[in-house]
Amino acid sequence: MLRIKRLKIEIKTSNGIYGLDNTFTEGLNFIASEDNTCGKSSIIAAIYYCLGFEEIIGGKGEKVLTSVYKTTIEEGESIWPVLESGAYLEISNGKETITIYRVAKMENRDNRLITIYHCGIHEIGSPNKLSEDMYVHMPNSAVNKNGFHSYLEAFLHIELPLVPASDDGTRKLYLQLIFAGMFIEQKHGWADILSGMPVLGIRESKKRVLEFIMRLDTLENEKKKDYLRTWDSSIKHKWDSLIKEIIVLSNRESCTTKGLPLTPKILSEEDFSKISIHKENDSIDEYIENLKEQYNQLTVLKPKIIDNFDEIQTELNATETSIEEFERELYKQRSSLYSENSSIDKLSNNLEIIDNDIRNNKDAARLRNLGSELNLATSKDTCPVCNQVIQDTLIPDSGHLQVMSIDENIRHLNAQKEMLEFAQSSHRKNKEKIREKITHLENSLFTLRSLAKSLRNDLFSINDNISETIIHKRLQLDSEINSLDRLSRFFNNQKLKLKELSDLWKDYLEDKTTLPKKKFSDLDEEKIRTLRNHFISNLTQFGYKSILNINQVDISLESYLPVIEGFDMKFDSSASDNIRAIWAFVLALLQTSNDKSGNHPGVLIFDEPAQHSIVINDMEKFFDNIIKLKNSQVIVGITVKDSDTRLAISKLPADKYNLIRVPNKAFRRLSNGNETM
Amino acid sequence: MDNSYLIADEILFEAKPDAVPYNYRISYKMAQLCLIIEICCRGGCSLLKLHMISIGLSTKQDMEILKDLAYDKLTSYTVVRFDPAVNHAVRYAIADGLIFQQQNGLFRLTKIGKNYVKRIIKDSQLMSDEKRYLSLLSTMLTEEKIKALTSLWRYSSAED
Repeated sequence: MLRIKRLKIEIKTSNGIYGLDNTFTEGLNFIASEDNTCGKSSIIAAIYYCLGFEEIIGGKGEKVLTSVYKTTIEEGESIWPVLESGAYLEISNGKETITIYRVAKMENRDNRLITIYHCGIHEIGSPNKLSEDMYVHMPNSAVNKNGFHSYLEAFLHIELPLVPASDDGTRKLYLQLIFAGMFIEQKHGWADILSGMPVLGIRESKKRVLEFIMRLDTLENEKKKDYLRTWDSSIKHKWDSLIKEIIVLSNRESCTTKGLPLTPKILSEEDFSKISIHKENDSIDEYIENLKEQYNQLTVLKPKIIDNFDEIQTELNATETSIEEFERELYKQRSSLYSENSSIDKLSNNLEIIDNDIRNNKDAARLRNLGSELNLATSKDTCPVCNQVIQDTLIPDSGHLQVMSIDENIRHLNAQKEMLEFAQSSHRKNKEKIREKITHLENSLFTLRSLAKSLRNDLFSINDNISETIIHKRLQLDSEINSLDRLSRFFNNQKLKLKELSDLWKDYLEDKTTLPKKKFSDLDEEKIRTLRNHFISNLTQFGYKSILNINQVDISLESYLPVIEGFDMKFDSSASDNIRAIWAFVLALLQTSNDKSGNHPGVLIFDEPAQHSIVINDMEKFFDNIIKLKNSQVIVGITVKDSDTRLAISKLPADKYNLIRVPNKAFRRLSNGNETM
Repeated sequence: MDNSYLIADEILFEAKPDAVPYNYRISYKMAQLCLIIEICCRGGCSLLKLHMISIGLSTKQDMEILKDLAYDKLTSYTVVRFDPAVNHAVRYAIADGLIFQQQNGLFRLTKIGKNYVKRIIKDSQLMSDEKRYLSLLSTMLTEEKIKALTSLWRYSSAED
């Protein structure tokens, strides 16, 4: 729980220190003034500011504060410049009390620095009280040990959940978001339920906050879902890269793969055994076996030429034919590479022209704007002489043609550019493919030629010599066996990895099925029902009239916000009823949290709840309701302009509220400049 | 013959707007001409010069040739292209009060025109290539050079 106990604001001017010092009690507190512009909101803003929640007002740092903190302070006729300013806020979590000090304006002190004194305001400065410096609104100040908000989180004994963020990561739910549901700010706080919530990159932040305040179990589920989502994408990614690697490497050895599943699936033993690499219709292992056999046969062969002259002759012929074939193929591939290259060149040329065109068209568009600033008639498509409509073109005789506007033209060119880029990239891909083929062909050609050379040497050499061909062939086979062997080993390794991934996938699928089908636990439903009952009973008491049958109001299970027949309640509400709905909902949240031991810190701030000419009776009901709240602190900033409001407050039992009167100007002189502390 | 179209009622052709090259946009061409008068001329600019520089700006190659001519590196620069778009743009610019024609036939910028050019020059993103080239060319391409060139035409075309 959080209680605000005392607020002390100090504004140092050349005419002494101005400021105020107020204590707050448990239960209902009024900050009341006769007039509207005398500093109530400045006081409330100081509370936000000290807690580092100024983003609820809208903005970071001292700029959300009113000018009395920053520039000048008025006293009667005289105006004094502000030299330094800051505020002390004493808060308690029920057991301990700390004081927060944050400056609004001070040379040499960053306003993101917060000092925490482990004592009340009156004890500051006594020797054995500790103080610590912390930061707000810096990167990681919500998670870092020295971040004020992570300190506050620990101080309030709450544990903020990790929630999905809009950038697909997870982030801690920010305290500012939670307190936006309790501190209703004067201006945009009254626009809609929870409308003061700052945007901090949390997905569905309103929903998350409500879940947290009511402590719903769904938060756990959502978290798990999110975790599974990342798991899913990581497996898919790994699987994909594994498969791609296998395919690329086996293509390099001109092998084909079979039975490779392209997306993750659970691999049964049978599936697993079907995954294989083939070369020329044999599986790779068989092929390697074959090669080895050939190799062995060669070793058995007599390496003398005299013994196999005929064989050498026929083999030479065969080799030469295939060399010719390969050469033809190579020639073909080379010429298509050339044509690909030339079309890429052409396209790049065109792209350059189009880029130039786009740039100049953009220039033309801006020149046209410049022209219309100077009131040039041509920039408005009218003729400067006869004021008739003209087309924006200098092409002669274009009267009958319809012409694109410059913006259309730019879009048109951009579309062309995209098309050309697409064409270019596909040509590049082709080029890559052809290159690969060419290198492959060149390699094979090289092998064949050296084979042919050895054969020829053998033919013309002396009969008793050792056959070069056979040795050559042996070497060739040896290297091929080696590289295929390597591929096969690599493939088997990858297969094991694939198996692992498949097991992971299976785990993932299992986990996915264990996710509860029903989104809410029974307790959650109970909580939401309680929220609804409180909300409706509050609405009835505050005199909500925009719908006849108030029992039509329901709490949406999607957003946890009130809806009528599935539509946001706001659409059907009058302006003042919208205010009533905000009262009712904010109070109902606290009531529900009290009833069902939720996470509500038990403090509410309403700045000017009397918006849109609320009837005074309803106002009284609102105060009555607040007084009835147990275990809570409510601070209400209110203008007591008319006797009605005064009457409404005086009707309340005197011991049930604490009235802080703000006189004509909230900040009075505390001391003169000579006796600074 | 006239009724032989079977589905003439069912198919409608709608003319789609045509793209216009930037060189034929009124705003672009007017701005270009104003820039030429401002950067490349002293005391007025002839129509012929506007044509030559305007064409010279169209491609990189043209830019080089024109510059060589202006810096006297070329002896023969025979082909001068005339683009009716330039004439059109000059007319629009006069009507819009950006430029005016002096007694001697040369064009100058009006006050509005000067203001317009000033703004264009101030914006460094706008027409940067054109500005760079024109300030390179500066006033090197004088009216005298153009006159000398045109007087050559008389002889060369007399032969044809």
